[in-house]
Amino acid sequence: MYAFEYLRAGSVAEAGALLAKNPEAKLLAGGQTFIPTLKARLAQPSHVIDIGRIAELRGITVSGATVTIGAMTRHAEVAASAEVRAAIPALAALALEIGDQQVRNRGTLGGSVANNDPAADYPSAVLGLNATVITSRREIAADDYFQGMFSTALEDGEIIKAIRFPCPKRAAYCKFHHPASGYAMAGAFVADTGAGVRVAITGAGASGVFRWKAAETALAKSFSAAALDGLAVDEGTCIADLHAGADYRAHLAGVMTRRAVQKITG
Amino acid sequence: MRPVASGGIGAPVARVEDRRLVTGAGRFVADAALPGMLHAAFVRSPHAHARIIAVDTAAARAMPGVHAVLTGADLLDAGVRPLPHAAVLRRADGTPMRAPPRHALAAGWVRHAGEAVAIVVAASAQTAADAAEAVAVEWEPHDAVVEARAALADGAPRVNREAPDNLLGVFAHGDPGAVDAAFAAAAHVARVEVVNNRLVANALEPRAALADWQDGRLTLRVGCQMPHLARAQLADAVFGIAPERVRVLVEDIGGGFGAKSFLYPEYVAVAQAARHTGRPVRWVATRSESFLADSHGRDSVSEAALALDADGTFLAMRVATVANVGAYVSHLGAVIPTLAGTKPLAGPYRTPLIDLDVRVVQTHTAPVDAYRGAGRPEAAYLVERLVEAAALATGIPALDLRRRNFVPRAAMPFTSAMGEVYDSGDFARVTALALAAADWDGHAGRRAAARARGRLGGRGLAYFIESTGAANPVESVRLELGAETVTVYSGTQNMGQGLETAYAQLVVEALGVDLARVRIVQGDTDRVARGGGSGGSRSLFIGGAAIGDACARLVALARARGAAPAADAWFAFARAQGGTLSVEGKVKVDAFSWPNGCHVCEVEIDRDTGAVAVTRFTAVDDVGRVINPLIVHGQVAGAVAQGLGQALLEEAVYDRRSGQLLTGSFADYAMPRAGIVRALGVFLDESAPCTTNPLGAKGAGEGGSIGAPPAVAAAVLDALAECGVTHLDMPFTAPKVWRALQRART
Ligand SMILES: Cc1cc2nc3c(=O)[nH]c(=O)nc-3n(C[C@H](O)[C@H](O)[C@H](O)COP(=O)(O)OP(=O)(O)OC[C@H]3O[C@@H](n4cnc5c(N)ncnc54)[C@H](O)[C@@H]3O)c2cc1C
Repeated sequence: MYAFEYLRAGSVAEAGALLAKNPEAKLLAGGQTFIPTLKARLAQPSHVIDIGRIAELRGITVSGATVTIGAMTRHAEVAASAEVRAAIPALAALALEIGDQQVRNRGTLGGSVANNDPAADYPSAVLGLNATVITSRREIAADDYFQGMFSTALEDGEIIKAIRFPCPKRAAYCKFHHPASGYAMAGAFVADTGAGVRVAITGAGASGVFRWKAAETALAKSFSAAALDGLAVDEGTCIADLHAGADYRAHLAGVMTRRAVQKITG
Repeated sequence: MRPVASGGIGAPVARVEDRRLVTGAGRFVADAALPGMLHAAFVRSPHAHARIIAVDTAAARAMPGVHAVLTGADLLDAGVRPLPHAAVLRRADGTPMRAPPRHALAAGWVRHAGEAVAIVVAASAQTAADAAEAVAVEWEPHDAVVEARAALADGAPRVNREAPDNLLGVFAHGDPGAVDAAFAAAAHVARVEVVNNRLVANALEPRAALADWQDGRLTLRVGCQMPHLARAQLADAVFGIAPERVRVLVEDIGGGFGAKSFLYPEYVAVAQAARHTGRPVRWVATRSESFLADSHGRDSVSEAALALDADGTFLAMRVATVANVGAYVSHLGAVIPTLAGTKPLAGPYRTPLIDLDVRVVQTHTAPVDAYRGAGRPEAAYLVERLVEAAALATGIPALDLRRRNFVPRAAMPFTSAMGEVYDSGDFARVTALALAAADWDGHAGRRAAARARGRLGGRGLAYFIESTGAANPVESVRLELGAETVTVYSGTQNMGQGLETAYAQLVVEALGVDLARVRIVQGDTDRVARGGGSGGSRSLFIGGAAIGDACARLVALARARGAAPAADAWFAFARAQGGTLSVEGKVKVDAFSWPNGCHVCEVEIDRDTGAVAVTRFTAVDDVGRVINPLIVHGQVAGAVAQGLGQALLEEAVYDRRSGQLLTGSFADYAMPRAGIVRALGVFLDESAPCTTNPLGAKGAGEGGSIGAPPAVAAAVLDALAECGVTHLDMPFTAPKVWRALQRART
């Protein structure tokens, strides 16, 4: 790591002020992405602002048809939450598939969504459930939020406070783990929201998480795995690297989508 | 059944070192600190192949806290010589192999990405790392070649400017004419071409070194499996000083697996930095440095053919291997794919003729050296893939072919076509045990159940035999009987494999003393006079035999003095004799030992994703006489996990054009985790103990990593056979299996 100054923020307002004052500062949440980045000397922030103790960023609230989860809520807390498991079981199940126990004990929802790794799990739930990202400045609809690999609608100094998930009628997540990193080689979040069907694919897309619109249309007509027959993700939009070709990832996205639908339909 | 003395030979004693290790009380190099200690960081080459035009260290030197920056030129000026290696090969024209000198810090050229170019020594590790970035190197990049066969092509980028091409040397065995005749007369010929994937050892503890050079004497604390070898290499080869002026100190080692056997460039640079600054200097590798600069394992391509008669009797085998040794010849780099790895190439079979041709090739990659099995996994994988191919070629089930061609127990000792003498072994019996333990015949039901779940079931078996003992058959120990304890000084090295316990059990067995009274001292070239270190599964059956000899000498000494003590009476005897009695035990084991085993694997393959799941794995190993079954089970299970890693997950990949290591972190290099196998059964058969060493033991550290890859390969290909897939190379990753299924479909 390069040397930096460590600061601990007591509130979102304070964290925002510290960011405004120090343009080279960065937020530290669970540190599961940021600390390895620092250790590899891939980032050189002037200040690291720890938001880990800000009370207003924590907690899970169910009200009516939505579940609101604070940005600093750990993956393990979401996985174990009775409220989440009752309201959106697919979301709790997704959280349980992130990394390993140590990572889940530290990593946070806000950190994952802010980082927007193209193979991360949470972005698919945020997009698939049509959630709303609540920041220190505004509310951002999922469809506007994700803007490509590691790229989001967040502006400089903008802090995610919470994410509000509408409860779907039914939903499921299916993931194929990358053998080395444990991230998604491809993951599909399928939600029947009541107002329609949303299918969000992570791990496969060269521009990060994306909605598979053709599958959505087909499933809206007939919510069954068979409805997906003959449909394929365009491999031209998929990641090719040393682990797998774009054709494999496109295919895998289809398989995960079918399996997610089967999970729902039983 | 022989009664087992409490804590003696055969007792499943819990490892005495485990409390220390699992409670965090182990002592590793990174735990050692000396007064006034400085910290080192390395400047490493970003290029796979480049000429160093200039190294500007001024900015780094000027940084506060920086004590020294040394480059390759500085080391040359100080008279530091290149690292040694075993130059055992010849070129095809009979001239000796010539490898480029491996300087501790590159001088003139760099030949692999991550090669150390300069060392920075500073008051803190942080400052050293900062200053290393401030060292400005002017490069002239050149094209690189990373694959052995590509390196043999005309016009390939050159690794070694002292030789006419990248072919370091050749190694041949057998009578090609006789093999030609056997093939001409054969009813069947089976052929395979197999790749043995390059691996990174990835010990839990990264390499580290702490050097202190005081009053003309170097003390190097290092995690090294062969402390006396390291001392000799440092003193004789590198620094040109008397061995007494070097002390190598080894405490706990967090995993060695062969890759911590010998000297590394960083150790030399750290030692020179300590000499230069007059202060202790410590370096602890980052994981990235481990990936780039630890020696790698395996990496060869073999074409092989097997001639059989109409009944499936093996008539002759022909093998042509191209082995990638990397950019420099590491200590045993040239030995492993040739002299060492080909010893068991006949496998457990009577095949009368073998024609072998090995080409050892240099590339712009990290040097390749010993890694668990070291050459023998390559041999077993090749032979067993060939047997599986022979089953396809003849229509005779592979199991029947194996049974038909096994060396029978009655034929022991048996001289193989490689000219090696197998002293003992009962391959048919071990196979029968494995079939029973694996419920071989019950597979059909499990396969049908898998099919009902939409999965392809597969079953595979492999038989391996390996040579253990390395080429160093001598070991001696000093045994001291004191008023309270028995202390053994051994120049073999515990690195997590349980020697402290197994050795103590040998003393318990011989003298009848309590296990708690036995101390094993290793890893200090001042306190232990000599030793061959640990590698090639040699420690127990050679070092342990030396302990047996020492105990026998102590008993004889007591008898000569009219006593026959046992148990605690030994300590009273010592007190009566005025304190401490010391004896030397020594053995020379005249032959390699031949551990062998039968491994059975069952897999299920998800057709849609290509994912391979190992559902059952059964290992029946003959490691000769078992001193501690708990430890051997652990060794087999751990080695099987590593073998499954090679078969299913692991591969060090370099970019073909740039020569960059693409799998430089655990995010890209897949290691096996606990879930790699759902049900693992480990069984030991002691019915054919080794006849060439007093203990009857055969070495138990490597077998799993040798047996598992061919067993997995057989199972995977069995599962895929109905889809028309007949060949795949390791690792059997999901994308690769899926692609094979796609191709077979079209
Ligand atoms: C071994 C390992 C395995 C993993 N496996 C998976 C996996 O399978 N699936 C998966 O999805 N992830 C995986 N992860 C990543 C993990 O989920 C991370 O926790 C997550 O990506 C980032 O969350 P964090 O709280 O650790 O954020 P940090 O690392 O602390 O921060 C990440 C980035 O987000 C910014 N940030 C953090 N919080 C906020 C906020 N509230 N507002 C604005 N910006 C913010 C930070 O400044 C930083 O740039 C793995 C990580 C590791 C180390």
